[in-house]
Amino acid sequence: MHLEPIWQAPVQQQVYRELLNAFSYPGQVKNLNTLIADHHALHALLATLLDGESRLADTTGQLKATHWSLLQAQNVAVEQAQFIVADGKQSTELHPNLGSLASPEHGATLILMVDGFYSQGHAVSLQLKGPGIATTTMLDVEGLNQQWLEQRAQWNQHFPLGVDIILASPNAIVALPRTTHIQVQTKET
Amino acid sequence: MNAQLNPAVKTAYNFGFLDEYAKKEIRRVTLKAICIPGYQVPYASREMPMGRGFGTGGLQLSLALIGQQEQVKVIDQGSDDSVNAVNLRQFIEMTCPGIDTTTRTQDATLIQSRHRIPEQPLTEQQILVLQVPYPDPLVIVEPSEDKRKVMHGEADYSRLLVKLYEDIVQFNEITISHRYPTKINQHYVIDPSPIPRWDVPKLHQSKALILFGAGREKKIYAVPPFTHAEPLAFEDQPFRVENFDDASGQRRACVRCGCQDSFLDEFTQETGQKIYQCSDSDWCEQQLARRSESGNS
Amino acid sequence: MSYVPIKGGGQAIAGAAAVTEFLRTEQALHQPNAQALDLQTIQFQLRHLVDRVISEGGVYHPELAALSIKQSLGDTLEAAFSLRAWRSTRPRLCATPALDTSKMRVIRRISAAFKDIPGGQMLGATPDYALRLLRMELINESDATFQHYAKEWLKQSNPTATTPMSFPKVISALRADGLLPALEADRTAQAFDITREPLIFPVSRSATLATMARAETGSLLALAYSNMRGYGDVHPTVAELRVGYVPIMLPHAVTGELIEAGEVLVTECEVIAMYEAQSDAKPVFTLGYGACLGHNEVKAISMAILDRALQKGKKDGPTNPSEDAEFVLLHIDGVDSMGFASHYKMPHYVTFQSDLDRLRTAQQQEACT
Repeated sequence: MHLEPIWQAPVQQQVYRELLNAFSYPGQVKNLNTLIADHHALHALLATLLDGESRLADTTGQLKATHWSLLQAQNVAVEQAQFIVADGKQSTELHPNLGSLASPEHGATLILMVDGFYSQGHAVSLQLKGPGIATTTMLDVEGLNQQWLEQRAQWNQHFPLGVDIILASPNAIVALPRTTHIQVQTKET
Repeated sequence: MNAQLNPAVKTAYNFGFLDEYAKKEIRRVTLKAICIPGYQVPYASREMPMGRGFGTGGLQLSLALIGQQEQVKVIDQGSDDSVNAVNLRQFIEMTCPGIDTTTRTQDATLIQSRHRIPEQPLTEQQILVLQVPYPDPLVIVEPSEDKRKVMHGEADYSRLLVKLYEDIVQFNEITISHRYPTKINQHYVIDPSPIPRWDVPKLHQSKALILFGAGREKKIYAVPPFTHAEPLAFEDQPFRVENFDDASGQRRACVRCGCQDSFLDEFTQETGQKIYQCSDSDWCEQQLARRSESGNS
Repeated sequence: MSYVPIKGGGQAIAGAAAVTEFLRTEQALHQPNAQALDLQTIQFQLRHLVDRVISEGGVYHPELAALSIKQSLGDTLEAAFSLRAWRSTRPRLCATPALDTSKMRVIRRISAAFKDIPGGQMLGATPDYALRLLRMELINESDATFQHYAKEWLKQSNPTATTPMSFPKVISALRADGLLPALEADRTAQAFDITREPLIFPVSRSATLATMARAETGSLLALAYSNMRGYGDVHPTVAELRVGYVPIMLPHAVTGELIEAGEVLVTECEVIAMYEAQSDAKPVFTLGYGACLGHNEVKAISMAILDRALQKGKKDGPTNPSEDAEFVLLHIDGVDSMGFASHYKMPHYVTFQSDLDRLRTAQQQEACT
């Protein structure tokens, strides 16, 4: 039986290393092209991280029954989810688990699907600071509704509570842990 | 169906010994640990074929990380040849066929270490995994884990500071030698594992990710790169590293390579005389090689 | 692929393995026809040892438990450790529904609470009422005598149609009389899997029992004994202790129907403790439950007492160590505790160097004042 790359252990290990790097150095773009061929980076992430013990909420409705049975994850509401998939272009009001003072790790991981990490018409330009970043770093994201950043600011205002975000374009990822300070750069016309 | 072994390679154990579900749990926990610098994330922690207390936590972190192209260095007390390091390295060689192991710090992509951080500064291409016996610095003032979690969440370390103050009153010094409590990203205070004070400054603004694994206590925590890491101290009692000066106030040198700025092991010879040698064996090797090359002796 | 060359440390480890193997096989020097231990010999003639290792290893595999005893030269902590480490490598296939111990094929079943019970008191194989006199005649036991006994015993034993295959639970009657709290209505709760999730206190009773089920026997016994002697007030009466084979029911891969896949030897103990008031209901007796793989009565009884003590501690706050969940549950795992005790033998010279520095500085300070 031929297994697609994203379900193979060696590929998942490499995807994990890219994720580890992404969270360690927030704002750095990690291209997964060579690893995952035609698969969307989102599927590579979910296949790598999730199993039967995980709770997943898909607000996009994009995941099909075949995906769910392969992932083995439990299909739950946003409030109970450890992992949430959402569309970066459309901001919906979500109430994810922010964790607690005693157990902040229960704060959810939100995966936002975006178009890419380059600057074009509707890109947001972000200045990032915090752990993992030597001074500051700049990040352009195409297809990210700014209201997500406003929600994030609300969720993350009382560290250690908060939500950790992965931005996933078709072939690349960027991680924004709750510790990253984000400032939206206004464009100069 | 989830990640499967390549059926062409028939071995008794999965690559990396742990099954893929165990690796996934460790991976999820590790990523959360990076997001909450210094917070001890609980995990199920599988039993390994070496004893609890012998590095099973660090090992699980490493086995979840290791890939085919890895260059792995394993040290204990700074030495690649220490029995604990040898045992772990042989296990990794056996269960991760095809990877390379090395003693050279700068060649390693993954370094697993017990009780030392290498003298050679690490880079963004490297990951350091430290073996941890006691993950929680508050254990000396509060035996209940339940209560400690609340103190950590609130960043309430007043009882720990009182303990340090009591030391100063009694001994005129903070008496904690290794496992020096260090505040990460201005919130969580960690036990940095039994590294000497000498190594604590290396946590601050490190270029490399530093991961901490406690197998028996079932916790994983992290100090991300470029993160503030400050050992606890008082204004009039600043943090001090170990002193290697001799009686005349001269900084001792390694008897083997001559280095005067590394952590030294003390040996008493049969004559009763004390000699000092670099704890970091690879550092010592390379210093020695450098000195012979440039003609110094 | 390149590896670090083997030097002193590696040679020492190889030497230790070789001399340990020498000790394991040394008998051949003293007895020319010495034979390697047969796993079946261990399984049959040292069955309680095997049961202990199965229970502490946390996996029901009598043959591999026997192997772990053989390779560890009889060290129960080491044997349980090897078995647990093997278990760690096994993938999870599925979980059975909760096993019904009332279906147990009983080999021993007693109650201290009543003189007689439905089905009768079955003493079974127990040393409880035996005289602990050394049986010197076993020193030079002949193969012939050994091989004779089991056959003869089977011939003279007389299984009658009146011996039931299973026995009702004693506490069912007590429950029916309203003397015990009613069972919880929700029967769908999932068991807590201690091998998949970490313990975050306060933990559920499911997590407590699971942790104790594979705990080290001596550790459980010591803590339960402390409660028995007065560091606690469980004052237990054994309602029922039963030992026997419980059928493992697995769902059929296609039809989903439950099929018996085999049976495992289990020891189960239910103790009745002091009665307590219930809010808006009559007062009832309280119950403590203990169960483990294999035949290990001391473990099951200790577990039941600690279960009761921990339930009380959770409700009223602990007033004794045996009632404190963190104190009990974090110190009874044999693999964790023996590992850590042993780790003190590892090199600690860098930390000691650091300690020397601190003490010398403190001594200097003392000298200055």
